[in-house]
Amino acid sequence: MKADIKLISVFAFICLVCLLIMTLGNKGINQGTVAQIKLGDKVIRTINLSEVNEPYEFKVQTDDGGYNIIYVENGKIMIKDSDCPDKICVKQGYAYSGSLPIICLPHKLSVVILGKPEIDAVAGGQ
Amino acid sequence: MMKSKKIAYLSVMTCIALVIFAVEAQIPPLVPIPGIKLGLANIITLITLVYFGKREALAVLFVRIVLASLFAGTVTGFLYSIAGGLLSFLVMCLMLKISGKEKLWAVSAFAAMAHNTGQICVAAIITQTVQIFWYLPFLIISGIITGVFTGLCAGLVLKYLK
Ligand SMILES: [Zn+2]
Repeated sequence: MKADIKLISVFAFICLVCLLIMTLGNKGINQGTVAQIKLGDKVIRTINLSEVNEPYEFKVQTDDGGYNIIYVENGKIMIKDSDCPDKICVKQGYAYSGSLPIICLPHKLSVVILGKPEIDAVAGGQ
Repeated sequence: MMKSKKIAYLSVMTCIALVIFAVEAQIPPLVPIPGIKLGLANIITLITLVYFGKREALAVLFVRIVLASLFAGTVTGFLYSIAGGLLSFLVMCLMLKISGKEKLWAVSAFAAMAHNTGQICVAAIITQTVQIFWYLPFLIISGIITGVFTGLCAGLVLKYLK
């Protein structure tokens, strides 16, 4: 019984640390407006989401012959459709400033929001 | 136990693990986070480990992962499973030594955490994305929950095996 309580407190502590990291991660670290789309280690597209006025979509052909359809709106990006077996990437929904990256593991595709400084975005726009 | 009898038993264990694995793959993921699943096939690994031993459990685990990857037909899937599987197996053996057979739920929870950590490392390497590690806290918590569940299941089965 004593050992049980000890183990339960260890697990409770681990959960607490995880919850702390989760809130920290969403609050400050993934902030940014630049979405980077990668296939494996190569960057195939970088989009400044704050400069998107009209929503649009495009198709990414993956290395294994599959595809992901990516939908971009002002400030957010999502995978609209994919022919991967698990469709987890589609179910993950939007990525935006402060959100988790979108991953399509079967296709080795990732959509990451980068914390690029605002100055870069302004300079790029002029 | 006789050698041929043991091989037969272990084959049955591998077969059950494969079936569980295949059935679980058909269940749509509860949360859209890569890597979160119940890991029911681990019940078989745990039972084999406690009932037969380390070598036997490792064999059952390895054959299950190789066969499952062959059926699925992806190298990525194999790397992903083997990294999680081996890491979780190591932790399983270690924790079984420390906390004993009576605390299978804790052994299994630690193993599931290790499993998910191993998988996320491979995912980060495959996609070359460090940001994937932001998923780790979700996967650790889900590992504790699913691990406790599979551990309790294994304990229940072992009760009837003796
Ligand atoms: Zn996908």
